[in-house]
Amino acid sequence: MQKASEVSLAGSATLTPERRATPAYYLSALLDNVLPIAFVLLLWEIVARMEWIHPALFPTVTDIFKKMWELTVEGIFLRDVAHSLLRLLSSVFFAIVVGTLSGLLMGTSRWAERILVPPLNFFLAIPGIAIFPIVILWFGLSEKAIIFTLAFEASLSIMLNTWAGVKSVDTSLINAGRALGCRGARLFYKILIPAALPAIITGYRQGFSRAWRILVAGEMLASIGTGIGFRIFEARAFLASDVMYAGVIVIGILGFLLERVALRSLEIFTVQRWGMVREL
Amino acid sequence: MAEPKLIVRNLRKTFQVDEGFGRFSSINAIDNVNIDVREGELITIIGPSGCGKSTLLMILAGLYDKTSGEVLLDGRPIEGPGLDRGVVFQEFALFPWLTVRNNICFGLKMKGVPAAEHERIIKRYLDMVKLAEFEHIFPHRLSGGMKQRVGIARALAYSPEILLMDEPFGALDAQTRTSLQQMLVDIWAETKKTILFVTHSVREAVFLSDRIVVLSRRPSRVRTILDVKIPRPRVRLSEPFLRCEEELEELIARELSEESSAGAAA
Repeated sequence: MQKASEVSLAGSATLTPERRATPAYYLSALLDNVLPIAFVLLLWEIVARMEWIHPALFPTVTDIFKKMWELTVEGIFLRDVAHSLLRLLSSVFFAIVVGTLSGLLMGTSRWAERILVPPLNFFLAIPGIAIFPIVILWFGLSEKAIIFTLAFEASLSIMLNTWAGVKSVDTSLINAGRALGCRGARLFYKILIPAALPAIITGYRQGFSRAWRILVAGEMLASIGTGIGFRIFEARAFLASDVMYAGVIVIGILGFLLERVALRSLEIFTVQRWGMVREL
Repeated sequence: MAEPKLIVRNLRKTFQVDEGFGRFSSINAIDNVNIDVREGELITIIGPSGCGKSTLLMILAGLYDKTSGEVLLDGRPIEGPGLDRGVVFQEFALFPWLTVRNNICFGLKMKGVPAAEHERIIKRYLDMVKLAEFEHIFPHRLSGGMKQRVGIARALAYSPEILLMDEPFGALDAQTRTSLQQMLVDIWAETKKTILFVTHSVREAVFLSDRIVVLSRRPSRVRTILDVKIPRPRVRLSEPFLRCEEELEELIARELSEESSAGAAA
């Protein structure tokens, strides 16, 4: 018997093996991203070594990485990263639960839509960090304040995208689901949610990246004692520019890994495999 | 004679159209349609475009509400969608997140068919639509014709009483169309299903049907019901086929010309 991957479709098109998130994919993605960055670092090192700018303001890359290594070995960075991630993940977890549920509600109930859309649009216009001082009044300079602000920020993006996704589900898919005997809750989780998944995942990605931005600012403002944002802000007091640069780089790496590896993989495994978004 | 499989009595459908600024107008889509569909027949509904034939099918599928009248399947009134009917859509409407196999399995699970039987049933219908090798493929990788074959398999798998097809081959190219028409006739011969098929193609109707219901322009009424007595297998270029095609063509053309003269009079 012929294997499916060799059968020709409609003349010219053939079935090529599906693109998956394989090790080879990550390797080539790594190379594509690492090379240009290595070039920038090299340029930086050369300029910094010329000492046109005072090294306290513009340290060399090697100094920065030396500092990063020290801080890592001392365990300070690991703890900072762990605490930052814990805050991010717990707040995004809340945001996903609240945002997805209310987005689905808005997408399916006309009343919920009427009531929730105007405040949603209003809150979306507010940068999350603007409410942070108010949140501090409520919760004090605490974990709760940061997590609440992040969750607030992320849930709005998730709500908006989930709502838009559910609203734009193809009517013929809903009709097919109904014709196949789905009603009520079943129609919801068997048809509406998977059909709206491309938009929902976009919402998660946006929610993550908005929360990530707020997190760093929040840690700086809350002087919470740990976290990457706090580390950078504290280093400023001692003019420890290498710590500050190292912190910024760690933030960049973490943000990149979260967005491009964790969330992108989710996309590749689901909606892209199903052909619901174009492959890149 | 045996009781008809599907009875449509005095069916009417009026749509409310929102014209904006709080004004509503109503459009009379279907006006008093009566059809009896016999057990095991392949019946086609044809009419000028926009005549409400798809609306009629959607009402039979239970996806639209009727305004008044009666629809009985095996003597029981149709209220809403149900697994006693299989529906094939013009837009295929396969679930992109499920493989071919799981698309076909969907109705089986909904109907509560024991899992032990799934394998055998899925294999039977995959073979019937000649897609056995594509069992584990996601639908977006299939061509249009193949997608619709999955659509047909999905609608048949849970063995509904009647298959309702809404211009299923309308979005396909001419060659694919022809081969799917043949496949449908073969499937019909094998499963002995009652099939109600909506189309705007005269040739398709003549090739497939035991009987052809010609609808008038909107609001639709049954203009004529044509018995197609051409023996099967049918040859598209044979004398009786062409004659039947011409007759049908004329009937529909008359409908359209009445529409334009009615328009001129108004």
